[in-house]
Amino acid sequence: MSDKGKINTIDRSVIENMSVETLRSLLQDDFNAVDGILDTETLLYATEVLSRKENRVNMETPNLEESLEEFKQEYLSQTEKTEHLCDAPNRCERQIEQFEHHKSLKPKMKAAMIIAAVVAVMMAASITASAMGFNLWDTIVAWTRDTFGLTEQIDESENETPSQLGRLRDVLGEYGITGYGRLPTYLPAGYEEENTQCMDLGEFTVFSCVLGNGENQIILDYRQYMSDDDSVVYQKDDGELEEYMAGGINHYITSNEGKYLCVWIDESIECSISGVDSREELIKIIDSIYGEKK
Amino acid sequence: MDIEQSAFVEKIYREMFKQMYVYAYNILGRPGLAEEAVQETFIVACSKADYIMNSESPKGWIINTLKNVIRNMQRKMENLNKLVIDSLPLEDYIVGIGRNDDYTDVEYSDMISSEEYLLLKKIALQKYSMMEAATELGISVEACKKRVQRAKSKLREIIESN
Repeated sequence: MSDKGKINTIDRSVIENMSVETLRSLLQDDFNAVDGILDTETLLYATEVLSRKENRVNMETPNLEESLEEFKQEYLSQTEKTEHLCDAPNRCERQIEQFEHHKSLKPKMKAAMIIAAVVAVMMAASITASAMGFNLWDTIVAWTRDTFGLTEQIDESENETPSQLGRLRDVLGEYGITGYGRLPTYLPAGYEEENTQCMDLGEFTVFSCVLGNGENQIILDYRQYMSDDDSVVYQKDDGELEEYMAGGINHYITSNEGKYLCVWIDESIECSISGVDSREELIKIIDSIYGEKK
Repeated sequence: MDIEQSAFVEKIYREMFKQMYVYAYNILGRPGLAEEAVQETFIVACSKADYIMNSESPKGWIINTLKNVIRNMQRKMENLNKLVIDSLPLEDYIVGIGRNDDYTDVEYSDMISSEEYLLLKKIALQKYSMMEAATELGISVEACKKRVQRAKSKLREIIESN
């Protein structure tokens, strides 16, 4: 999501002279608009001024050092613990039971209901956004987690995982996500594995593989959620959201900061591929997941 | 994360913490929740450190992620709030279920304890952050999140079956 088209012309003296109420209202409006109305610098400046003015009326900000320490101890240490755990092969058994349990959760909604809900959300949001002067198709899809259609049986012998994704395949397997053969067999030339990790973030676990070619990075994320309430939102550029059907599954394609990304749901796992240079390359990657050649 | 990535994330945390907190507080209206939103944002940032370091606008990425985190928090709070409010008329049944002889055939593992129910009420109705709830219970934030998740699932099942 870029700052293109956002307000960046508010004179700093104007912001300086705004009342606390006006500043709060400005920031609230920015939050309410799905793509925001202020560019990053203006937003940060407005929060700085608001903070200064609120301090005068005794609104205290938490201590930075304490917050950072707390973050490292309570949040970061947990993440790193899991990363290290999963960096070591065959040491991920800890959560297999957790995933087996989750895999057995019954689907809450049928595919048709989900499609209807997504369409309804998009339509309602479009109307609201249009009224506000925003094009919501330029925003983020509200995700539900479930399959969007019937998937095809895959002959895994034909789905040969590239060596760059070998660790990702192994980690998924170690987490009991066996039989999950939906990794691409095609990757753009020159990309090597830079980092593969799994992180338990409490409400979901993300299996992530970063591929790099020295200049660019492609990231494959597979998210396993612990509840039906959880989901992730994705950032994107201005522009249409494209639906692309492959393997009986709807894939949502868009771009972010000029790179292409795709998000889809397969057997309760939310999958995304981001950072791809072109739409054509992304389509090739998607098709290779299902052994499709077009 | 490697050392360079850790240093990068910490640098951004130091630079942006106050402004992010003020922004989140303005939307969420509770100090604990605002700080939680900032910290959750940096958890995401840690998982994408490589990407952010190469981003044209790391601060823009952080702010957009903060907004998304706040929206997710609001949505979850609304869902939990609705669930707890729906359960209030059944409170005696739900919490007393394990003690009532009429229901001795119900498996204990499917019940919600009074402690679990109180935890959900604090988070839903009193807007406790996970850190505040965890501190009060003397457990880690991670353990608290899991406890809330389990309690929520149990409560939802009880509500749906009634």
